[in-house]
Amino acid sequence: MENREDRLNNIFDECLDRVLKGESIESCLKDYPDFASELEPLLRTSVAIKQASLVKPSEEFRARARYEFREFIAEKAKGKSPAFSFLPRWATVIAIVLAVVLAGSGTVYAASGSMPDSPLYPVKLATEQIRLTFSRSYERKAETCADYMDRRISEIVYLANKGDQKRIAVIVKRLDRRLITLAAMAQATNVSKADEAAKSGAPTLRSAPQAATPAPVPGATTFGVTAECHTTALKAKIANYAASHSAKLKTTLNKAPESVRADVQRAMSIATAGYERALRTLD
Amino acid sequence: MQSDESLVARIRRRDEAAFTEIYEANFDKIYRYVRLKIGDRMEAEDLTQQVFLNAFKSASSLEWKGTPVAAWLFRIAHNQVVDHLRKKGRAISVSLEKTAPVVASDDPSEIAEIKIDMERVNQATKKLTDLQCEVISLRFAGELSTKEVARIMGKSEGAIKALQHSAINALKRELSVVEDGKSGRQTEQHI
Repeated sequence: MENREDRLNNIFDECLDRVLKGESIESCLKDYPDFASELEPLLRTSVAIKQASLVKPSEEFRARARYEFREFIAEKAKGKSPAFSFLPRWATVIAIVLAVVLAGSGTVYAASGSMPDSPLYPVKLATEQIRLTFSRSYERKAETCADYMDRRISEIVYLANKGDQKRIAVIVKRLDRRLITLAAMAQATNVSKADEAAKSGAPTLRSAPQAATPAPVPGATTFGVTAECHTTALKAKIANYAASHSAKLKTTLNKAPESVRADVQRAMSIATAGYERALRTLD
Repeated sequence: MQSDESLVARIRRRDEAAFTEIYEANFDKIYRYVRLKIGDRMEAEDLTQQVFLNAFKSASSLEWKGTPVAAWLFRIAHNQVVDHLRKKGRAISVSLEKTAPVVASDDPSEIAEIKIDMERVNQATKKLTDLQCEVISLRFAGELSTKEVARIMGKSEGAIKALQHSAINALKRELSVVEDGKSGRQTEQHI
């Protein structure tokens, strides 16, 4: 036999679930008039606690954490088995060394257009990583990332036409990682540009205190304006890629053999979500 | 939607896509859970990241026992928080002066106006027993059901319901008491 205390515990639990899902406290109290006086303060307190606990991580932290986590698991995965399982690990190492030694040479140039089934492909990837690492600003890294996205999409189209499902799956993973990096770099660009803009508005400017934003002088550098232009240019570039990549993948999907359709579809979803995320950070 | 059983199998294999899936689905909840228990935003951020890294590292030990994957993550988060607090050797980090105002009363018209913030809830939960605090964190920040909380904590649903009831009662009293104290201080200043 359920005693009153147990009954109240059960009723409170049921009402709590209902209220947390958006139902009104009043409708719960109406269902249990004998317990209303005890339930009401408990439910009001619960709703207040729920509202207070709805804190969200900052966008900056979210982007940084996501990027670091993806990098971490990618590195761990590499430690276990090479990211590109269709090439032996030693070949990748040699390719990286070659990429460094031959940077700027004809080999690197030839590799830049290679596809995943080419012996030069590891050189292409190694060169990309080196260029990305040595890009000086977040903005440049973001631009470079976007350019490499374009390459990944071309590779997916190429492999889809050949019906090479195994390699497409690997490239799609790489695409996903690049998009995470792109969003993180875009976020960092926005933050650093905002900082620059803030600095440009510092009292050290030789402008009258009442003056509005100084008009840009042709040829001169006005941090805020220049930063905004750069961010707009990056945003336009990403938006262009987002549109063209979506169109390319859509066309590919329509023509692709059944065996690769799921992977192309996945690439489309990943690209759409990734580009949206990157563009949102630049808003 | 994948079943949790096949998700567990993929996690055990350290499948990247599986980790991405659980990361995206649980990141905010884990952050809220940690934040409610720790209070400090930056510490909560560090611990949240660590939870997912530890999950990845201990993936091979995960076994399918019918519990959702989220339960595993919250267990890791719980251990992480306990370890963190033990290392820091403190239980309460938020001072009364830093907390925001709260309105709490037995008058129904005022009860409807209860407004509190995370910091205040965090402070109030320090007065709960460990078990009560765990139930509130999992139910409110983790958004888990009573059944899921019961499985994570290894207790019956009835026990969780009782803990939940007593915890909310205690929080109601605690939040009111703090407010009364604050009102008292304000009155003294006016005089």
